[in-house]
Amino acid sequence: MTEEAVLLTGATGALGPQLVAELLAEPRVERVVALVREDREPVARRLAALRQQVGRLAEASPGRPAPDLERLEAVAGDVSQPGLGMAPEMARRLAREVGTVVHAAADTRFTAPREELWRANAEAVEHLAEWARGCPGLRRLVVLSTGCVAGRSSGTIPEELLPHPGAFINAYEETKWHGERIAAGSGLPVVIVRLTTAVGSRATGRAERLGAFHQLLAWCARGVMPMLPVDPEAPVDLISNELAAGTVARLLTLPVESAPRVVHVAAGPAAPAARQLLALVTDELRQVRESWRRGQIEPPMLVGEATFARFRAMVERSGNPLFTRILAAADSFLPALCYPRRFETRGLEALWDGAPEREWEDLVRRAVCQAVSASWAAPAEAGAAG
Amino acid sequence: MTAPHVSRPARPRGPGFGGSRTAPPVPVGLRAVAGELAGERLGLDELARRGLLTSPVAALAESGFEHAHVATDGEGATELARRVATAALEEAGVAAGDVDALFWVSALPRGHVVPAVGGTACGGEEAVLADFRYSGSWLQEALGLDRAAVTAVTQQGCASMFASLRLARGLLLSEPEVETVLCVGVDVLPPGAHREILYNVISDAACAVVLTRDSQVDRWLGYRQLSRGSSWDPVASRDEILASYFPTARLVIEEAVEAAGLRPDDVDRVIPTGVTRASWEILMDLTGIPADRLVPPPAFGHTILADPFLVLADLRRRGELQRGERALLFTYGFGSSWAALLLEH
Repeated sequence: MTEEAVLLTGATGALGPQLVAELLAEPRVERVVALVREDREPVARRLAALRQQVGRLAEASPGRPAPDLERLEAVAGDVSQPGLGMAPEMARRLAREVGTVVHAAADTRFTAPREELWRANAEAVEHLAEWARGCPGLRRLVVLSTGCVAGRSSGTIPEELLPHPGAFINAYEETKWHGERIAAGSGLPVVIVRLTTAVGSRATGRAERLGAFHQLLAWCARGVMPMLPVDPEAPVDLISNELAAGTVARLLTLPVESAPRVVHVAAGPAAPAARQLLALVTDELRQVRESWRRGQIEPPMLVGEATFARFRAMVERSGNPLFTRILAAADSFLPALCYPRRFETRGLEALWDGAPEREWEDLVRRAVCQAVSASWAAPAEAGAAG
Repeated sequence: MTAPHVSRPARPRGPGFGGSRTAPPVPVGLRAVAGELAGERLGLDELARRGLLTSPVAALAESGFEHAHVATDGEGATELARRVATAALEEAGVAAGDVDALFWVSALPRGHVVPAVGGTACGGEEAVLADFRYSGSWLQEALGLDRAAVTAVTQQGCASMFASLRLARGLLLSEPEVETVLCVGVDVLPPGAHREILYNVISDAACAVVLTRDSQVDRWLGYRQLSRGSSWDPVASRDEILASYFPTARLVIEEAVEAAGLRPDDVDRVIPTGVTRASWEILMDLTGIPADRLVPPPAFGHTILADPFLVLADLRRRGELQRGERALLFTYGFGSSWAALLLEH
């Protein structure tokens, strides 16, 4: 078995530490080289922090051998820059050594200016592909994407490149769709891995970075989201960080010629209906929060778009600061709930020999506990957790 | 789409319900309903000019408000109460001396005490005694309700009148010698008071209801009240109140309808309070009661506790309710309490 170096972008992102842990656990991987920006901290410090995070993840999985953190390196660079912002000599050296590139870096802020999102999510893929063409030993380029590229479309989402859906909820979705297209058209051995909503660690419920799902949890826990525009039977696709990162690591075990072009890391058929998810969240909140236990807070109602639109109009007329702020933040992702869809997962199932770990109940319960213990109060800028 | 809500934690159902599904129906009914708005009518522009509003006039107008009724000089709570109580007794054909119990109802603490003549210049013992000049007792004397036992209901905000009806019904059911109960509700804001509360324009008004046993008019079908002391401070809990309003309102209405053995479609009329029209449209969506069953919310805005009874009195007076029609009245009151009342005309 040939060992290879893996260049990883986005190592310091929401999924980064888990990706590092899973890649280091993969026997084929000689070492992981994390491309990190040096704008706020020296690379050495960022590497130390990343090793700590990976070490903590390992402690949460006592059944697995501890990763050799010396096999984790870091180089200064910026994927949004030509040549990945690396020093030319470093760029050349790595190009000779790298066998796999895992591109997990992204700007996941739903409300960021489109130009910034385009640079981070589309142009960055161009820069990466340009650099990767100079890698003589490149076996594959794994590009992490999102199920949100389906935009404003419903139904079954196939594991293939998607046509333009006509409209997106936000510029994040749109720029990620373009990123997929750029990757697919690069002529390189690309595998696109689309993640649905990564809630956090299956083992601890902890999320390295909070996303829209956590924001919704926080609002619900506080009782400031009286209703949600979603069909009670609509599937809500949630996955764990372990499944996301583990799937990427498993891709490295596949011969290049048999690697799929697109893989969904999704709960797929195992995804709960919105009413089931809400029932579980409510049950957990009633166990962990006194205000819920005492019946002082009711769970949000699942309502139709028309009813929610009336509610929104009422809030706008009132000018209530809190609800105006919440609805403005929710606008960047809540409309996605109005497009019920189920993701195909044949590729995922094949990778995991038919049985990927997609149990969602414990995952969500732990995420709720994390939300309550983190005492999320004010609405943060919504984004994807991935 | 009406979505099923998440099941509530199991808890005893007794306290919040007025009318058990297992008990035989007893025909307590609203034999008379009267209401009156205060004398002076001020448009939104005038209210704004006087600095009595918070929200822009346009926003309030878009929410369905047009004006507020404000008590004139000399038109205090007691005078309004006296007029509506007289009207209700006349409608019911009940002599003052036949009233067995009087419930005086005011959401505002100031409504329970008749102001001393000349203000509160007195001191010492008189100052303390002045706080016992109960409005209910005054009304008893003013109307000659010589047989009535007098009590008062408050601390449920806009739901106080609903609470008084529930208690009145309980009295009629539990004490056979009590045959007629008069509930009189009134709230008059102080002169110059702000006229907007939580995005609703507030009018001064009074209402009165005569409840009797064996009344076949507006027969009592069911009642549900849910109180949550966690939002006892409306200043501090403003946002929590706004957030909890709809989910709790739907819950209370659903439980009231279900407890009466009905389905949402069985409700023929929904008699609203005068709060923002949009909130009623949303509530109709949430409860699954067809939208065309909603009686148009009144243009005079919210009168704290009298609105639905003003609307009901108006419908009865104009003969717009058909025999056998089932009406739902619902309100929310600071404290907080959500209350739903089901009647059959």
